Parts: sequence; structure tokens; C-alpha cells
Amino acid sequence: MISAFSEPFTVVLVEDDEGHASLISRNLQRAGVLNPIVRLRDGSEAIAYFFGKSARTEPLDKTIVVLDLNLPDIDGFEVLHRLKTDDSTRHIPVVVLTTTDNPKDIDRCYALGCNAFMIKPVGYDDFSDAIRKLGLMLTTVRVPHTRA
Amino acid sequence: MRLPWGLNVKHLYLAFFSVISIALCSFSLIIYDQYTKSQNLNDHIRYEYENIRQTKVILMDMVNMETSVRGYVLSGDAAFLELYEVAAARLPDEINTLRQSTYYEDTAFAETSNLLDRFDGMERLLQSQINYMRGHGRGQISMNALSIQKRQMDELRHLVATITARRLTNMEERRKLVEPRRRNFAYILIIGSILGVGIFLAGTILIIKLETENEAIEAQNERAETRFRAVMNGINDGVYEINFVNETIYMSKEYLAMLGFEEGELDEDIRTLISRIHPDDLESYMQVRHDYIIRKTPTYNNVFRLKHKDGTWRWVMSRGIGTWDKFGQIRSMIGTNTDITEQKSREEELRQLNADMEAFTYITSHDMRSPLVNLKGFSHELTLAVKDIDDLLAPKRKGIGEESWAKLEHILKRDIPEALGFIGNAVDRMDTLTTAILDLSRIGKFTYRDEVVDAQAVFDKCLGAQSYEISNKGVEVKVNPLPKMVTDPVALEQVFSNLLDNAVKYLRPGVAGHIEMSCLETSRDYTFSIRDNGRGIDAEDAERVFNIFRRARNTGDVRGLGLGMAFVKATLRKMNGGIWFESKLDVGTTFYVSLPRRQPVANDAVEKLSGKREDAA
Repeated sequence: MISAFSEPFTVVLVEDDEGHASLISRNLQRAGVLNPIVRLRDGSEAIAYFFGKSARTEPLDKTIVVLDLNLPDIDGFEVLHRLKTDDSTRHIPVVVLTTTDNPKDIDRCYALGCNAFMIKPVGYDDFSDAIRKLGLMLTTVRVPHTRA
Repeated sequence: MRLPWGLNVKHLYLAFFSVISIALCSFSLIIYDQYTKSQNLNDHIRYEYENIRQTKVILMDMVNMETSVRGYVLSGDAAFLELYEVAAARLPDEINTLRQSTYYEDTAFAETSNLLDRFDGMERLLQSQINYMRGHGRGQISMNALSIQKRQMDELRHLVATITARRLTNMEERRKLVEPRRRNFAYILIIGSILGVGIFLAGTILIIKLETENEAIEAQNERAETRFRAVMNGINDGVYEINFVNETIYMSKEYLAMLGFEEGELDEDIRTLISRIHPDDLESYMQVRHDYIIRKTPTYNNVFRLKHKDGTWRWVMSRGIGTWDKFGQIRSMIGTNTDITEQKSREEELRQLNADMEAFTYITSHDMRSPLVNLKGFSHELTLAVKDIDDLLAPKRKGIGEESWAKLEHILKRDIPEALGFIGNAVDRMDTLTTAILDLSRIGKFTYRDEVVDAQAVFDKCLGAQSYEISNKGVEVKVNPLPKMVTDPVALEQVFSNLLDNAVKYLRPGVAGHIEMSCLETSRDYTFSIRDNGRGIDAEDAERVFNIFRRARNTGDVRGLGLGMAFVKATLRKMNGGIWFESKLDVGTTFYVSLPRRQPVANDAVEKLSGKREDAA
């Protein structure tokens, strides 16, 4: 079921901070990830995108989610929980990218089933380095296809 | 009154009354015995006198017979014979009466037989005289017959006298036999009375003494009770006693008042208590009580909620002491209940404050970081943009003109990078501070695990970590023997490491450094001291040393945030230790760290928390 990821995929970025979203996009592009990026501003938008009836155009099996935890309405944990408990979205890789380095939060995310947890460092070099690594991961990652 | 051999006052009373009863009974028996003896003596005397009288009557009748016959003989008048016939007719009966009453005496039968013989002889003699008279007329009695008659009468008198004398002697002997007993009786009476009076006196004294003691004890009890009540009232504790045998519970006035009830308002049934316990607490209440009852736990300390009369819940801390029978079954438990509702609400408040604090540090740690990410990120974007502008403008340098170009150059290469540099530094500092706050707050959540730690090894490890700095500065470090102790190794390393770091960092430039580590052991704690010959701490800075983000004023040339000692102090507070120092400017500083002596503990309780510990470490 799992095949090497060669087809174009979509990055769904769930991030409420405009600045962060912009920085992530720029750095991803500098890292060579030229795939389309769908920006979602909060948890409810994310829920609507994945579980709503309309609005989504990209197929779920060619999607990677970059998720922030501190979202204004429905927080990242909840979104992660919904994604990983629903059969239609369970296989989508989720990378949590957030400012918290609280070990409890990290454990909780992995317990909920996130595929990777990255901390947004304050220092720019560290940050762009992290994003570049994310980009590198996104270009080489094997994305499981949902069953037809 | 204290008595030996485990006797008590009840035993004493019992013994006392037994003695009195026995003495009384024997006394009565003795008196009765004496009474019977003297009664017997009386009877005997009456008996002897009666026999003497009877003997005299017999003698009298014999004399009468003789006299009447003599009268007849002298006068010839038959009327004189009347008395003779009467006496002769009744004498055998009289003798027989005497015989009847004395038949059991050894000599009596012979005596009465003798009397009968005498009577017989006398009657025959007199009858022959009468017959002779009737045949020969008066005055014809021979001298011979008269002398026989006289002899017989003398013998009779002698016999009667003998009998009387014997009986009187008997009586006298009897009386002599009983007389000493009479005297004894008197002594017995006197001694008995004295004894009786003595026993009663002793008894009365004993009772009075016991009564006095009782009064004293009662007064003492009353005072103790008063004190106890005063204390109970003062601290507002309720007293209870649970009786497991008949399943009742006694609740004191204060206990009831705690729940809003008056005395007598609640049933003294054990179920009354159970029914008032909060449903959520019932299971744990029963568990704690059960553990104590089966002696799994040595002390009883139970915390639960009880329903007040007004329907609210009261937090109660119950403590008590049980009594078990010889089979190990609990019989009763007595103890106090303390209303800790207020403490509980304060605890809750504190918990809330703690939660707020946690939320605050959480916000500090990442919500405040988010803007920093932007500041830093976009600063860099600006740097990149400036570089792009520079690249784009370079070909157009000639068109712009030298003067404007120089200005542009100044803006793009100096002003903007400088501004971005300041922004970057400020962001870095802000990030360090928030991280520090977060780290400090995590000390509170650090779970300490006590184990046997070799302080020497821990300190050597710290030396190793800073060996570069130490050898670089040419610092001489002397380590005196350090003990093996029970504490948390990670925390101890943090404390040592910070102290050593400070000692090395704040040496005086140009003065050869000397650092000495030693430890003083007492029965209660260990006091480590780390002495340096560094720059010293001004007395005015003494307070600042342990405050977060604060440093002594003579440390400006050394990089530092003012975190180390704040960490050390917070860590030691958690370890029940202490820290203080002695210092003199430009001479040196000695920091003292005290840690309590502990016994090694089993690790099971902290094992499950070890994951958490790693986070904080």
C-alpha cells in the first residue's frame, strides 16, 4: 500500500499566526518544496476542510498536514485527534510544528498519533534550518495511500 | 490507694467483710456454747437439789412412821397410827420417784435399794411393835426392840446424810468445772468486743480513707475533664467513640455542633455516621478504616467529607486509637474529628493559584515565543531583502550619483543591519528570560528520588565538567573528604555545579584562585562549604544574590543572567535544605549548603514518576 512519494502533493498548513505562516511558506520554498500550500487559519477551518462537505479540491491521499497547536478556537490537539481517529484521514501524515517545548505536550501529540513533532526555534537560523529539514522530509517521505 | 499483688479496693472490701462475718459467726458459736454450758449447770443443780429434797422427804416420812408408832406405843391411842399408815403407804412411791429420776447414776440404784431395804426393815419392825401392842397392851415394848429401832433410825439418818453429802460434792465439782469457763467467757467477751470494735474501726478508717482518695481522684478527674473540654472547645475538635461490638457511636457535643446538630438529635448508630459521609469519599473512608482495623496501618488518620445539617459538606480529619481483644478483633475506637473545611478551601485556593501559575508559565514559554519567532524571522527576511536591494541597485550606481550612493550604502550596510542586530539581541535576551522562568517553575514539579549518593563522586563529576575553565585560569581546587549520603543525585549535582561554577567565574582577575570544598557532618544534617578567594559579595548585595535575574554589582565583566543561585535556592528549598554565605569584598566568599540526613527509602513510590523527572532534569 505504501509507495515512494513521487506525485505532486499538497501541504496543508494550519497556522493562526500570519507571520509564522508566511515564514514557513517562504522557507519551505527556499528549501525547494514548490508544492501548493493550503493555508488554514484555525481549528474549525481545518475540521471543515477535512470533514466538511465542500471546499476541498485536493485528494486526501496526496496531502501532508503541518499543524500548529495553539489555535484560537479548536486547538491543535483536537484537530490531531479528529484526523487520527477518522478512517478517511488516519493515513495523512501530520507534522506538529509549534512553539511549545513542554515535554507533556510532545508526549500527548505522539500519543494522539502525530508523525513528527518540531519546535519552532526563536533563532532565525535554527528556525529556517528546521523548516528546511521539514522540506527535506516532505520531499522524501513516503505517504501512505488511502484505500480506495 | 495502691495495693500489692494486683489487688484492688474491691478485693479489700470483700476480704474485710469475710473477716467480719467469720469473726461474728465464731463469736456467736462461742457465746452459744457458754450459754449451753451454764444452762446445763443450772439444770444439774436443780436436779441435785430435787434429789436431796426427795431424800429428805423420805427421811421425814420414816421419822413420821417412827414417831407415830412411838406415840401409839406410849398412849395406846390408835389415832396415832394414822400418820404411820399414810407415811408407810406413800414411802415406796417416794423412793421409787427418787429411783426414777436417778436411775442413770452409778451409785443411785444401790442407794435407793438400800433406802427400800431400810424402809422394809423399819416397817417390819414397827409393824411387829404394833402387832405386839395389840396383843399385849401398851408400854410393853422391850428395851431390845427400842435399841434396834434406834440403831435403824441412826443408820437411816446416816445414809441420808451420806447421799446428801455426795450430791452436794457432785454439785461442787460440777461448779468448779464450769467456773473457769465462766471466766474464759468473760475474757472471750472482752477480747471479742475489742476485736470487733477494732475491726469496725479499721473498716471505718479504710472506708473514710478510700472515700477521701475517691474525692481527690474525682476532683482530679474533674479538673482533667475540664482541661480536656477547654482544649476541645478551644480547638473545636469533636470526640467520638465507635463501639464495634454493638455498632454504636458516641459523638460529643462539639462533634455534633460541627455538623450543626444538638445533643441527642442524631441516632447513636454506626450507620448514622456512614450515611453522612460523602458518597465519593465512602470507599476511601472504609479502606482507610479497614486498613487500621486489621492493623495494616499503625495510625488512623482519615480525611473525608461529612454532611452538615444545612446540606453543605464539611471536610473532616479523623484521628483515633483502637482497642482490640485478644483474638485481634477490634472492639472500639476513640478519637477526634477536626473540621478542616477551611484548610481544604485554602488548599484548593493554593492549587488554583498553582494552576494559574502553571498556565502563566505555559503562556510565557510559547505564546510569548510566537511573536519572537516573527521578529526574528522577519528581521532575517529584511536582511535578505536589503541584500536583494543592494544587488539590484549595484548596476545603477552611476545613475544614482556618488553622494546619494554613499548615503544609500550607509543606510543599507550600516543603519539597517545595526537596527536588525539590536532587534535580534533583544529577541535573544527575551527568549533566554522566558526559558529561564519556565525552567525555574519546573523545579517545583521536579520529583526528587532519594538514594545513596557519594557526594565525593558527584563533586568530582562537576570538577570534570569545568576542568577546561579551571585549568585555563590555573585555579587550585582542594577537596576534603565528602560523605556518602541519601539524597537526589541530580539535584545535588546541580547545586554543586552552580556553586563551583560561580566560585570559578567570580575569581579576582590576576589573583591565583584557591577553592576548597569540605563537609561538616552532624547527627541531623550535612553542611557543605565551598570557599573561594574571589572578589567577594558586598553586604548590600546579600539579598540580590539569590534573586532571579539579579546579580551582585561587582560582576559586570562576567556574562551571566542571575539564574544559577536562584535555581540553587529553589532546589534546596525543595530538598528541605538551606543555603547561606559569608563573604568579604576582595577576600573571598564561603557558601554553605545544608542538607538533612535521611534514611534510605524504598524506591517503589517514586518509580512511576521517574519519567517526569527526566523532563525536569
